[in-house]
Formats: sequence, structure tokens, C-alpha cells
Amino acid sequence: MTIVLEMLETGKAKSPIHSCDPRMKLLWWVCFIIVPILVTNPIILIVFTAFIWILAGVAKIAKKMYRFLIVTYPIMIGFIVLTWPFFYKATPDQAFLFNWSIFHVSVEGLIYATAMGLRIVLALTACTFFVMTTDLMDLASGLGEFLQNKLGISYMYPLMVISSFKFIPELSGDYLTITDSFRSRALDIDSGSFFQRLRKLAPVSIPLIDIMLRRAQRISIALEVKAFSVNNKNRTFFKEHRVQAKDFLLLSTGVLALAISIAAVILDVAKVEMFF
Amino acid sequence: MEGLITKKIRWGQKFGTLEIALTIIGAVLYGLGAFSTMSLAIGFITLRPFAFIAVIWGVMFGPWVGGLAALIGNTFISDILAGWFGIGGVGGAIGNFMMAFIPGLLVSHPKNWKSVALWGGIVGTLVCALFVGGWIALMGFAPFEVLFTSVLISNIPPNLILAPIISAWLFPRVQKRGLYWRDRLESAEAQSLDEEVEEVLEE
Repeated sequence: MTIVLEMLETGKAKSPIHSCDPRMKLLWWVCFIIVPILVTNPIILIVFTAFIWILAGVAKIAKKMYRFLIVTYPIMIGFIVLTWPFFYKATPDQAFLFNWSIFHVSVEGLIYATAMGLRIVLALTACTFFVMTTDLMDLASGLGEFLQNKLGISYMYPLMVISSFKFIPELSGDYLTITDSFRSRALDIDSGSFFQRLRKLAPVSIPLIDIMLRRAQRISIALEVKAFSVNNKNRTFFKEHRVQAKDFLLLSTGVLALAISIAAVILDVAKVEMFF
Repeated sequence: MEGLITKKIRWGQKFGTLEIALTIIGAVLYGLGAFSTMSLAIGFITLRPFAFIAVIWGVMFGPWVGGLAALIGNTFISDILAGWFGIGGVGGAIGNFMMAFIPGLLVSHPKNWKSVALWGGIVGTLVCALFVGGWIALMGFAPFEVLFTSVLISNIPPNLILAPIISAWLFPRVQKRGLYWRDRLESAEAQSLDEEVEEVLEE
């Protein structure tokens, strides 16, 4: 839970990247979602990942990002590197390390698996960078403004997303209050096997669900009181987003990465197979 | 098959403030449940003991409320905060939406454990695994078989075992508060019918 709150808070920090328009950062991120889909060349992937780490330094979030990703990287890469070699298509010209029946591991398969792992690393780094440099509520508000004014879509959807983030601390606070009250009545929630702990959560879940339902009714009343209408498409926004030169500068780095990837595809150097 | 599928399939669900509030609460519960068990990971598929929340939300509060809660909880809370959105993104969003939408649409009654187990525990979960595995395989991140199996392993136990039990246990409490979606829909329809009759009488 602390990680969630910490990440949400990091998005509100002040830096040249944090101050960019959230919608432009979203577009930048979209570019970096497409790049690992197009490219499997490990060199290109490593260069782009390093570039994001440099941007993380500019945004002053490198340490926090490192603490988060150092846990996630090994899980992702480990899984990919372990599973891909078994699914890599075997051909007689490969250098096999292990080959029995349908199970085979070759050097080519391992290189391919590493490249797949690096794709995941790039996608993961870009996403984490985006989350840690963007106030998600600001993004949802900006998107809501765009969706309503340009596409005529109700503010209801962005409201749901914004409110979900807003209620994370409150609901987790409710959970902690309930578990603490049970602890004070000598229920040892933290000890025992996985299933024993799961069983102990049953008495906790009853007041928790009750509180959730009550809270839902309160939110509904609060929305009614403020005359919230699902069909109102003329809503005004407290914060109006304007795109500036620095936003385009950030976006251009994403577009450039995408252009390089497309060029690599055209020049036939985008795939890891070129190393075999 | 009688009793396993609802006789009255309702595609539409009118969104008012209560539906919005229930979606928000469901999204937070599902998202935090998924994120808190992120450490139980098989690669980029996490074991999700709280996956049943999506099914329950669909069955209790309607397919659209449940579907949107699961979509927002999975994508905007769990995936984005975990950094996995770029990888599982669209497939995860649609898959989780369907996991709540299908039981919400087709379960005959929340207390009918067979119906909840069939549509939530089996069909909804299979569709979710298809979308997640299919999307990630389509993007070329991992083989379909691996992802499809991982999602099934992570979602089938809670959806097949816990969802029917919790659904039967929770239903009277939800109904007592006037939050059960089919009851709300029927009373809204009856009310609009009354209003129409009144208008005709006035004329």
C-alpha cells in the first residue's frame, strides 16, 4: 500500500518533466509502447531504455524508480528467459544445449529470449517513468476535458478513474482501522499459513464490505447533492491544460524513438534474428 | 440448462450516481486487491486471490458496473501502478471487463452457486484468459499457451470456489440496502411506467 501512495505522490513532484502537459506525456508513453512491439534488436532496446533512465535523472525520480524496478525487472526477465527458449522454433542448424522430444533449448533460443526480456524491460521502464512523472488525477482531468469538448463523451468515465485514485488512501485506511480493531481483540491476523490467514480475513471482510457499501451510498448522495449529471456535456474545468513548447520537446523524443524503430524495420535491422 | 442462465437477459444498465459510486468502490477494491497480491507473480501474470471481486461486482451491481469496475481496477490502478500497462494493456482491460460482464449478464440468481460458478468461474475466466493471452501473444511478448494457462491458474480458483460462496453470502446484505441491480432496474421500470400512466391520465 505504501508503494501505491508513494508512486501517486511521486507523480505530483516538481521537475521539468513533471510540469509537462499530462496528455503529451501520455502520447510520449504510447510511442514507447509501440517501440518494443516493432523492435526486438537488443542494442536498440538497451539504448532506448538507457535514454529513459537519463530522463528519469532529469525528472529527479531515478532513485525511486530504481527501488521499484529492481524488484520487478528480475521477475519479468527471469520468467521470459526461462520460458521462451522452450517455445522458440527448433531448426536443425541451431546450436542446441538441450534437445529431447518436443523440449529444446538452443543458443539462438536463449538470445531470442533475452531480446524478449529486454522488450519487457523497455515497456516496463517507460510505464513506470510515465506514472512517476504524471499526476494521474491531472491526466484523467485533462483527458476528461479533451473527451468532453472534442469528442462529446460524458465526464462520467474520467470521474470514475479520478475518484478511484482519490479513494485508494481512504479505503486502505478503512481496512487498516478494521484490522487494528480486530488485533486489539486478540485476533492474530499476521501469523499462520496462507490458508489460515485467509480464514482469519473472513471476520474482517464483513465490516469492510459493509463500510464499502455505505461509502458507495455516501458518494452517490454527494454526487446528487452537487447535481452531477451523466448527460451534462457542458461541464467547465478548474484547470485548463495548454500545450507548450516543452511539451512538444518531450513528445518529439518519443516520436523520434518511434521513427528510429520504423526506420530499423524498413532497413531490416529491427529484429534480433539479424545476429544469428 | 434451466436455472443456470437468466431468463431475462438485460443488456442495458442506466447509469446514475449510485452506479458511478459502486463502480468507483469496486475499482478501488479490485485494483488494490490485485496490486496487493502482486508479489505472487508468475512472470507478468500475478496470482489474484481477490479476482472474485470482479465476478461479485458484476453479479450484484450489474454487468456494466462490474465490467467498468474490473477494467478501471485492473488497468488504471493495478497495471499502471505496477508498470505493466504497456505490456498487458488492452488485452487485460477487455479481458477483465468481460470477466465481470459475462456473469453479470448471464447469472440467473446470485444465490444460485452453479450459475455463478459456470458464468463467473469458468466462462468469464476463460474469456479473460483468451483476451489477455491473445493480446500479449499478438504483441509478441510471450507465447499464448504460457499466458493463457497462467491467467487460468491465477483466476479459476478464486472465481470458481470463492465467488459462488461470497455471492450467496453477500446477496441478502446487498438486497437489503436496495443495491441489487435487477431489483433497481425493475423498480425504475415500474416507476417510469407509473409516470407514463399518470401522464396519459392527466391528458
